[in-house]
Amino acid sequence: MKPRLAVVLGDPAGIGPELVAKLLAKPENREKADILLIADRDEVEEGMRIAGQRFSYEVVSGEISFGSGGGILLEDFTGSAKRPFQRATSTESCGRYCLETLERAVDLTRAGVTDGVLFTPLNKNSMHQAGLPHEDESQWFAAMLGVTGPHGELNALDNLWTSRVTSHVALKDVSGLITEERVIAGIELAHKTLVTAGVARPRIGVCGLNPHNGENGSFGREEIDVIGPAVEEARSRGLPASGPFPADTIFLRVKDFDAIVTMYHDQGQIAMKLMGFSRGVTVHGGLPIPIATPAHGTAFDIYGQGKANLGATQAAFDIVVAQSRSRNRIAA
Amino acid sequence: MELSKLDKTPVALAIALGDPAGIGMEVTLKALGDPAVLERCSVTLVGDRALLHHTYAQLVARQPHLEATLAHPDTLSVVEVPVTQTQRQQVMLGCGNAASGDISFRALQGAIALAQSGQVQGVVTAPISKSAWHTAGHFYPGQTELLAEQAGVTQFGMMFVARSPHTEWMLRTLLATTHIPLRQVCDTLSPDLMTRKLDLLVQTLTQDFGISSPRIAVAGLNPHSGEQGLLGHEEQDWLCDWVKDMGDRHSRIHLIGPVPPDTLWVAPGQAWFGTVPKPIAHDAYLALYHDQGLIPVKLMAFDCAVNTTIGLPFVRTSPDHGTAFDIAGAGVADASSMTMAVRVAIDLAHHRTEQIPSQAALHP
Repeated sequence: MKPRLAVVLGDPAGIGPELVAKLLAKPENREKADILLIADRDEVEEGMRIAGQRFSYEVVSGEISFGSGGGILLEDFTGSAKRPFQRATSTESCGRYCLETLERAVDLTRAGVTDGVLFTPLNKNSMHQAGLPHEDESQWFAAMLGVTGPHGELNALDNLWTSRVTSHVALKDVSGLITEERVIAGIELAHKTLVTAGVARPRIGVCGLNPHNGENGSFGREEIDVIGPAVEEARSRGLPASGPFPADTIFLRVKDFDAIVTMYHDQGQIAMKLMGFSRGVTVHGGLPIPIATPAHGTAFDIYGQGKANLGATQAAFDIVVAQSRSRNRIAA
Repeated sequence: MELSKLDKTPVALAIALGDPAGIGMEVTLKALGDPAVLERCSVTLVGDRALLHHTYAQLVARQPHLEATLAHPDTLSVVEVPVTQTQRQQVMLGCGNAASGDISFRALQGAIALAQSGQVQGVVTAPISKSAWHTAGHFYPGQTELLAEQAGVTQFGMMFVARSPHTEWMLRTLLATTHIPLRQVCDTLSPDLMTRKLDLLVQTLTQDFGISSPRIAVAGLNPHSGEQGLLGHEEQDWLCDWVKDMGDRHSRIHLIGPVPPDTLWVAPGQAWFGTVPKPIAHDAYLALYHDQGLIPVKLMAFDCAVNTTIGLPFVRTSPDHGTAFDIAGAGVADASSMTMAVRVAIDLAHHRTEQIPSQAALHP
């Protein structure tokens, strides 16, 4: 069965609607999946106008059924947000629109109407103004879906994935948060997510924390005391992990690994953004449903110009399609 | 300005040959095998001549094709360091010990002496083994500390320099903190430390690279530069103010920051790989901790980055690798980093020597 994706436009003040228009205007993407757009119809039209590209859709309401024809369905959904939206800036109104469309997409996917969720960039400020009660959308998804196990953001670039043991925390708090349990959870999360994305036996490399891996304890002992034992424990549980490896050279070994487990946000993000700023994907791992988004932001500075690069959105789409397929296979 | 095109008077360099049990002599002979290098500088090696000959003979015996590409020791000028016959016999390729540690320590001392007396303008240091130094009773954390002590300098910095083979663009990265545990980074950083590092950086950009109004980007510390204090306070507490104060103080420089650490390297990456026509890259980057600067340096310039110590009264560069005891003597060591270290030292020394006469002309 063709995967069915719920797609939302992200923050309408940014380049999200333009990216969705470009993505769905491609016939080959419509071949890969059936689409349910959850969006305000005028915003969809505005995105197509900015992109200078069109796709046709069928407006649906009430109970949603893809029928046999598939294609692109639009649930014309505005929610409680007040339009017209201000563009190229963060507002409560756009934040509210993001939260409500995303919630609807997650609900429909959890209910089995769709198999996965793709969204284009959000603005954290807008969502916080609109009352997002969590640090980031990753925590919010986990709360909505009642997830208690290891979960969090992973990043994918071409064939390399990264997961993080700590994420949006101050650098001074990182060392204290590196525990054996958290490192093992980071390895497990990477393993599980890659398997659902179609990598049968992912090779997982684990970063050290300190310069040169601490050089045998000369400048830092976390590699010896915590990370090394965690990798051993993960291996004893059958997870194909190795490390820790010095963080400044592990990213040169992309051929050796499918995933790299990083200890802190910038350890992975510096490398991923440098290697492919316009192609990186954020995957929300550890959830019962596939959710992915381009790793870049709303790019307010180029709003409305039609020049947004589709690369990361296309890559995110392809990952959700792959994850939805493998989920359907497991379910069947 | 294209540094490598500055070919005026040849400069003089000393190369300290490093630990004789490692690959230092091999990469030096390989680097100097390129005749273009010796046209642009006169080189004095500092180490043990007998061991150099021995290494040469062994390399050629193992890899006969190297005879055509290695510099022959007879053609090179060598300043000998005091080595006893016993020490010489104790040196075992692939295994650092007290003898190899002592010889490498004396080689560095000899090279520093040449620089201090003005006979050379720059020193290139082949890798040493810290533990061999310790075994020999020389208790320094590394070569840099000995260089600084002998030169009478207390402020110095570790900078990585690399020229893109794709675009010729030059990456310059200074580390504000170096070999300390990550958990100590936040407490070690301070406005005072940053000011000292920035002053050194501005000085070296002006004096060694000929950039009179440098554009410098400073990294943030926390994810997203702290996101207005949500993810760490240092940016709000002092780093933002510090960047502003420094911008006011140095009228010649263009300073930006703190830039979120993960987006900081996007423009240099574009400039390095040539993926964007006119990237907005800076002349230098000030990274706050080791891996923040080295992850991008290695991703861009893995085999051609040169480590240079700034703040010394002479130029100092070194290849960005260790003694590689595991492959010592096999003839398979990659000399590209050593070659770059020599080339960069030539470029930097050229700039310094060009500057001195012009300043003298202004103030006769």
